[in-house]
Amino acid sequence: MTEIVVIGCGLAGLSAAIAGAERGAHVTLVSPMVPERSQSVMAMGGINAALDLKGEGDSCEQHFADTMRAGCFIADPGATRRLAEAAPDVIDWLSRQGVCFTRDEQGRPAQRPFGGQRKTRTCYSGARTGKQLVSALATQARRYEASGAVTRLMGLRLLSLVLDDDGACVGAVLVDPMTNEAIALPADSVILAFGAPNGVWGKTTGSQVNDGCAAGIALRDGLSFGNLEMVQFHPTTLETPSKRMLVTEAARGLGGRLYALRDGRPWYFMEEWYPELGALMPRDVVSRSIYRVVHEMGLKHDGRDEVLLDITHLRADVIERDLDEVLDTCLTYRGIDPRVEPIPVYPGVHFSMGGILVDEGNRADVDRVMAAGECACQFHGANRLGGNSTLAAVHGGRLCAESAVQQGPGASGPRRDAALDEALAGARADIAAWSACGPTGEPSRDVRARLVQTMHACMGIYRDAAGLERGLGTLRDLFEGCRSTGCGESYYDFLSTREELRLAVAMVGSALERKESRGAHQRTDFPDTDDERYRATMVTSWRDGRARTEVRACQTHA
Amino acid sequence: MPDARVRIAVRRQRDPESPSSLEAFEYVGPTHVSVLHVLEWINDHPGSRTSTADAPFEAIAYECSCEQGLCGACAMVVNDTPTLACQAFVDEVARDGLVEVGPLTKFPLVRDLVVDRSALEEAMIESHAWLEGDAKVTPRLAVHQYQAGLCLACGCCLEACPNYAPGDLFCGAAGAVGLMGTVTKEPDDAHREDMRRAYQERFFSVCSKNGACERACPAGLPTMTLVSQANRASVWGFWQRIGRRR
Ligand SMILES: Cc1cc2nc3c(=O)[nH]c(=O)nc-3n(C[C@H](O)[C@H](O)[C@H](O)COP(=O)(O)OP(=O)(O)OC[C@H]3O[C@@H](n4cnc5c(N)ncnc54)[C@H](O)[C@@H]3O)c2cc1C
Ligand code: SF4
Ligand code: SF4
Ligand code: FES
Repeated sequence: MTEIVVIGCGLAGLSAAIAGAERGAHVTLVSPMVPERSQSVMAMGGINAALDLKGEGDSCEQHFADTMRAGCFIADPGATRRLAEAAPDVIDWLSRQGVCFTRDEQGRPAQRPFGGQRKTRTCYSGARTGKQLVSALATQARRYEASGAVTRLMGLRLLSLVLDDDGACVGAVLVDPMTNEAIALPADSVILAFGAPNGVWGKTTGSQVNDGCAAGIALRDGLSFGNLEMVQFHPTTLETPSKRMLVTEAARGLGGRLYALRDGRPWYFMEEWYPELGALMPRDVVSRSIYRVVHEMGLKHDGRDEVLLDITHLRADVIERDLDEVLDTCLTYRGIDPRVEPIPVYPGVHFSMGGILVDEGNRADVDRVMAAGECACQFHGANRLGGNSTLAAVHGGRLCAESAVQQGPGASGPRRDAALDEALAGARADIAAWSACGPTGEPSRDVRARLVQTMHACMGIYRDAAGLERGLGTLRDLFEGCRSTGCGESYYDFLSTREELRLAVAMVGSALERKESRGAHQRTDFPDTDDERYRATMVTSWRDGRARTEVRACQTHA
Repeated sequence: MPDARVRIAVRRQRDPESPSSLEAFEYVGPTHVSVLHVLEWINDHPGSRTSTADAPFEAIAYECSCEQGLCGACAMVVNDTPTLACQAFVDEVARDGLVEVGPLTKFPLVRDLVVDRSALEEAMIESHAWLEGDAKVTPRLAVHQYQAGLCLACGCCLEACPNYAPGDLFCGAAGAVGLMGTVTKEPDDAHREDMRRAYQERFFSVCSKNGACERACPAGLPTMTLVSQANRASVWGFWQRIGRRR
């Protein structure tokens, strides 16, 4: 029987676990928290599939074309075509798993328009699509847990991947951050589905659990990463004490206007700059415009890096009915009533297009490692379409399981056991070494604060060589400093601070090497798109203690 | 927002074997912030501790993920009420300038404010709450199925339920809600019967319908409506009829 270890139990991890169990494998599902706590539950908008229910002539070809265009043509074309073609089946599969999609009069999953797409192709489940998807899949994973095909191990995080002498993955070492206990799990394949690296950014729209530590570990242990510079900023997020809350595009879709105060009077900059679409321009254009207004023109709101989103001209009952989420968020977290006052907004980190580089079968470039969901790089290129990432997580998770089952059992016996024993002993020694010296060096909270500050300073909406090089220097120093001392309140705090820094170094390195502007990556020193050199994937790997980035043609790399 | 001073008392316990104690802190800052944020703030400001203690401050352990009421991770007891710490605002919950924070008490303690809620999932496994066949679509029930799908598995309902004690067979509102979500979609008669039996044993025979769970549910689920509908139809014969007709 094929033994699969899945790291993470959001949409990608759950889909992989169910698909693996369906194909007769035994799956161990590992995560610090249960599926109900994963970032996937926060998705509201929906999930795309070209079902053409409205007779608009939509097709998988169109879906593919829209996805490639949004990604500025650096997504993996083969894999992306397959994603678009598989989407209708994904919706059908989800429906059979029990997802209660909002349905039309004929009982088919209803669809609505969603950012950046020409056709109506986004399925949804009321105002809580992600939550409903996770609920249904968690319920079905339970069925396999009861039959013994799935084992859940909650409360654990990835500590290392275990490779044998041939460089193939034979398992993973996991750690309980609360007790510092480490265990080693043998596996024929390891599927990585640990989500976005929010930790390197501090406040994002996503979950605190996705800290970025697992990505740093994957990089350290030999996986190549693609397009790490591609990070999507959502243009309208609301600052709160502990995170940035997303203010949905629907607020602009229903007529919300963006303005800044100029000489004491509202100036509707989007309408002036883009008379046709105004505030409804694509996410990256709106984000960049807000940046220009605040930083280049210095038009701040009350001295803060914010512009104003005005929906006060909409009827109160429309706001209460169609924008209840916005109303609720503003009232609850900031005591702002958007029916009578504007909402202060600024772009916030929302989605990572880059990640572990995988091929059409979601295989990474270490044998017997697969990756899916937001931790993988494949479908989204330089910009992701709304509704494509939940789809990618489910589709990618299922593909990972297929690949793992196809590869079947790997090496077992004394060589594998020796590799696992050695890795576990190494991990325990590392933990013991940290415990012996305890928290030393600069407090981890200060190190993290500098990491976050540096990332925002050099990897924000606009970038240039000088800023990136300065940032890289700071991050390298922090990384080295935290390697040689035992900073951190606990072993896991130490480990994650170090690994987040490693990932950050790789991200900035990748951004430095892409000497052009494309989608989410805008260089003031290279303002043009350079298709000749950079309609390509930036591939970053960790070798000899450094992150190295090379340019590779964007086909499937295997 | 003017800064204010609020006393925060946090129940601390290193591990299941150690004794528990209350540790006091003084939070200084704007008060329209969540209790979750205050915990984060305390961990960043160890000097805010006001209780006298010999040992150096150790970070308070708690769970959180979404920080916006969508994931159930941060359920704890705040001033005697089970709630989501990210949705409990200091200015709204403080009593005489004091906020007391403790772990859910009906689950085994792990550390400080972290408890082991795996009993919730185990009850669902033992109740066979999943689908054997392809889900049926019944438009009339869509609203209830959607609501059942919103359950956060946070455990506040069990904390509030007078009839639930740790280790009970009784699965409380969380279990009942989950079972309703699955049983109404299951096309397989035998498996539906399985779930019906589990529902009767693990819920119906114990629940006294006092509604404490509904008042406690941070997802705003109408647990009583969901449950009473099932009960009224002679403990789920209703669902079976629907199953046959399609
Ligand atoms: C507010 C918001 C709204 C969104 N709306 C939409 C939308 O409408 N449509 C859309 O398509 N997309 C949307 N997205 C994006 C989409 O939700 C995600 O890209 C997708 O759900 C990712 O799924 P995943 O399974 O890859 O990761 P996640 O759901 O993030 O799951 C990651 C899993 O890995 C675990 N994990 C984390 N770290 C570790 C570790 N160190 N070791 C082991 N396990 C670990 C976590 O506990 C979790 O179980 C939205 C995102 C946000 C933040
Ligand atoms: S109605 Fe009362 S007894 Fe029944 S589950 Fe809810 S709290 Fe418990
Ligand atoms: S029913 Fe409500 S209180 Fe109970 S677990 Fe679900 S969300 Fe929490
Ligand atoms: S952190 Fe998710 S509900 Fe509070």
